[in-house]
Amino acid sequence: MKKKHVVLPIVLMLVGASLFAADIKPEDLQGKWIADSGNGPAQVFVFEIRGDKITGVTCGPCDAAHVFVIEDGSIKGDQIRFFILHEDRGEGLAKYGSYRDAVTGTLAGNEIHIRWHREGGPENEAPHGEMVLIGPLRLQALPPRPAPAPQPPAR
Amino acid sequence: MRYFCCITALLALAGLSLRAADNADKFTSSTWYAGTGPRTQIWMLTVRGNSITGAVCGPCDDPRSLAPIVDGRVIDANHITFFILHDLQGGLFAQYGPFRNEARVTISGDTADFNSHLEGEAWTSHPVHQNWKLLSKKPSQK
Repeated sequence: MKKKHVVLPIVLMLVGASLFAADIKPEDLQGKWIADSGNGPAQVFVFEIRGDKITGVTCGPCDAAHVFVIEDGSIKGDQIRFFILHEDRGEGLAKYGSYRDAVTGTLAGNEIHIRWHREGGPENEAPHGEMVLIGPLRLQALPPRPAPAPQPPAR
Repeated sequence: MRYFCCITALLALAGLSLRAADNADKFTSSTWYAGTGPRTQIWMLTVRGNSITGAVCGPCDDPRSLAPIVDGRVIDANHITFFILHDLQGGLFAQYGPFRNEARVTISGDTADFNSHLEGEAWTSHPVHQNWKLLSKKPSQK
C-alpha cells in the first residue's frame, strides 16, 4: 500500500473528528439537565447561557437546603467548565470551610459527561464524583386550554 | 461631675460607633427563603467585599423560575440592595423585553423584609414584598 493511501484516511478521520467536536451553541446547553443516579433524588442542573458564560443552579432534591449556585462557567469547543458554590452549605463545609466544586464536562448530543472535585484539592478526594446529565429540557408556557364545548341542552 | 458625664458620653458614642463599624461588615454570603411549599423562592446571595451577586429560583428545578442577582451591594449590616435580571425570561419579559427589578432588603437577625419594583419606575410599579427567613449563612472565617 502506498504511503499516501494511509495518510489520506487519517486526515479525513481527523477532519471528521474536528467536525463532531463542534462548538457548543448556547441553545445546546440552555435549560434543564437531569442526572438520575438510580438511588435517591435526581440531580438537576439549570443552565443559563449569556454569550459564552454559564451560570445557573443545581439541586437534588430541589428544596431550599439543596440548591447551589453555578458560577464562572465557560464553553470551549464541546467542553464546558463551571463552579458550584458552597459558601454556606455543602458536604465539605465543616472540613474545608467555604469552597467551590470545580466541574468539567463534555457535551455529546443530549448528554453531558461531567466530573467534579473540590477546587484546589486533589481530584480523588471527597467531595468528588462524576455523572451523566441528560437534556436539555425546555419548559415552555402552555397555551391556555380551549374552553369546553357547550353541552347540548337537556331534553 | 460635668467632666465625668462628658467622658462617659464620649465613651458611649465611641463604643456605639465601634459596634456599628463592627456590624457593617457582618452581612455575609447567605441563603434565604420566602414562602412555603413547592413555590418557595430561594435567594442565594454571595458577598465579595461589598458587592453582592447570586441567584433566585423557585421552584428551582424549573428554568423559568431562575434569575441572576447582579450589581448588588451591602449598604450596612442591616441593609442590602441588588437587581434581579430578567434578560432571558421572567414574569414581565413578554411585556417589557429584558428588564430588571430593583430590590432593597432590610435584615433583622434571621428574618428580612424584601421589597422590589421595576427598575427605573416608581416603587409602586409592580411592587413585590416578601418576608425572608434565613436558611444558612457563611461561617465566619478564623
